[in-house]
Amino acid sequence: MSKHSVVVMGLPGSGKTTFLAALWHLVSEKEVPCKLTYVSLQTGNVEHLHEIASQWRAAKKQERTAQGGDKLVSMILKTEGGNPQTVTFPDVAGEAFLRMWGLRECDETVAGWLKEPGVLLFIHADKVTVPNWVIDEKLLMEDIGLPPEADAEPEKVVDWSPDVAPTQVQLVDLLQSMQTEPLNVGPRRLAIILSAWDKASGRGLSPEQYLAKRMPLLDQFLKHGLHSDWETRIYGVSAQGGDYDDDNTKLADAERLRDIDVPSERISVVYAGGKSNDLTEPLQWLLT
Amino acid sequence: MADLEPQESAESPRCANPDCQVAVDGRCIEGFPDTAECPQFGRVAIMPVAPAPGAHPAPINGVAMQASTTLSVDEADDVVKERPSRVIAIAGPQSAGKTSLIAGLYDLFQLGQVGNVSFAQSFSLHAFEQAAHDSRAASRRTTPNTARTERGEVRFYHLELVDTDSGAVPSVLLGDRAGEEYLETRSNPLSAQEFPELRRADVLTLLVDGERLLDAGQRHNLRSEIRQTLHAFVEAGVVRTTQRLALVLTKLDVIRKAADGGERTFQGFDTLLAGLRADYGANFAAVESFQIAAQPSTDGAKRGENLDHLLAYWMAEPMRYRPASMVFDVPEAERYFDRLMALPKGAQ
Repeated sequence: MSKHSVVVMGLPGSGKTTFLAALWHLVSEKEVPCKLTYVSLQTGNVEHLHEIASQWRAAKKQERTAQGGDKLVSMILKTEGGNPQTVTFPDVAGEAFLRMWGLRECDETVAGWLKEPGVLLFIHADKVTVPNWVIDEKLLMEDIGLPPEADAEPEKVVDWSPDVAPTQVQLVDLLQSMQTEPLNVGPRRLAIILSAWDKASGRGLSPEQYLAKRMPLLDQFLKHGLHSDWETRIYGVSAQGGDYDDDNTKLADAERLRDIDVPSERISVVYAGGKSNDLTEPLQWLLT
Repeated sequence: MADLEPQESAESPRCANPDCQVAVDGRCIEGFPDTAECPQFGRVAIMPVAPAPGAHPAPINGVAMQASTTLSVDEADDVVKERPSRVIAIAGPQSAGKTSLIAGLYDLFQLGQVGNVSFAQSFSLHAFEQAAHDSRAASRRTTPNTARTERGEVRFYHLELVDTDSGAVPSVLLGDRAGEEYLETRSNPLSAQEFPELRRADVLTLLVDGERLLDAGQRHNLRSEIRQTLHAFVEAGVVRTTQRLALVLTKLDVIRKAADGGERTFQGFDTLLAGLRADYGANFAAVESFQIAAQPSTDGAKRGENLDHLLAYWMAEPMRYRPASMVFDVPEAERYFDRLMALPKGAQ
């Protein structure tokens, strides 16, 4: 039996844990056909998988990974007619990636995981921080007839810190780090998951077009800055299918999703013009 | 990086740059007409591979990522040695708009290609973000602002860019030094020799502060400052005929808002350009002018207006990469074989 690992990357709140929860439900319940099928669970954070999948089925938001610490989950999956493969997913808190960007350092264990050849990079399609400029906002206010703002009080001015950088800049830096020492391991496969795709798909763009429009710097980097021996695919993934309840609110959307008889049908994966419920598609590509 | 400095060679003169064949053909690959000026000449290369620019020691209990700041002179030298590059010196009096130019160009890549040029990567993302911050809405400022460059050693912002027409992928190094240090060369031209970015530049970019050129009380002094600064650079011997000169009028948006639409200012700029061309044009491979609005504060110009033209000028293949003609002394010899032993002048 061969062993493979896929590192799951993404800034905080990018949908990593929700993906794992839906994946575990998908492969363990076998409600819809998938490219990879479940054989058994490895020891490790089995409880974590059960817990997050339970939340997912109940259409409740996941607890932030940062609060529970980094998790390493392993499961044995196999392709049709293929040999079983142990697939390990480090579920790393997004804060670890913020630390890499901001403080230029990362935990040794995380650095080890980041050397895997298969990379799942999550970007929340509906929570992309884009750069805006003072002059554009000032001119917009003038255009709509609002009086000019008085000069900001010194205490209201926000000093620069790494965490105010646009999402695309932080992601370019993360990927640059993956192809330079000490994390460079040569050729890799990179599956970019635009999560919460249900929020973005209304614009009628493909995942590639959406990324190019919302994150042009990242798009340029993927085309020209990523090492030529890396392969990239961009998927639009809705692992939830809509908005889930949190501890304090009950949402009609969550109720609608709970009403779907086959929970796996909440899931939607868009790639290369096709659409399916199969979250194992990007994994299968990373593992081949 | 100090331990990776090339060492003085006790052997016959040669170059620390392994690609340079100066010992054979007498031609400096860096483009220095006098090899004594080249910092690599007469030294031997250090074989160990230098760490990537910006590397810093690992922290306790963790693994260090590469730094993401501007590059020192040594780090910029490593980039120049390792890959095709464009070294850009950006000189001008204080507040002329050097940092605005650097940040404004970076911010254009946030929105897509700049002309035919695409972003590939950068070793200086933190530094660019810091430079751009005070003109971004995230700063909560109500008017765009740019921090002044502090006095001290020149630092280089790094961009790896792609010319999508030619396929060239050079590293572009943008030198940033406090404007007052350049201004002081007027009193002490030799001090310009201490500015390595001037000697190494492929394009010397002189900024003309459009707001000051618009001001009747300041315009004559400004033109004088620009002329005298360039004169000092020439007198100090830090400009080379392989370099291109870009004379850049900044703050185009403010000029256009003038009562005369900026007519007198544009004329003043043209007069300055004509004078510099006449007096110093022969010192450069080319002289071009640009009118830009890197980070406008009014609606008089688009954000980043005309930076695509300036960037295209910066991206042009440096003259130092172009083959130059060489004069050979062919010895008088009876045997043809002996005539093949000819060496270029100065290489014996």
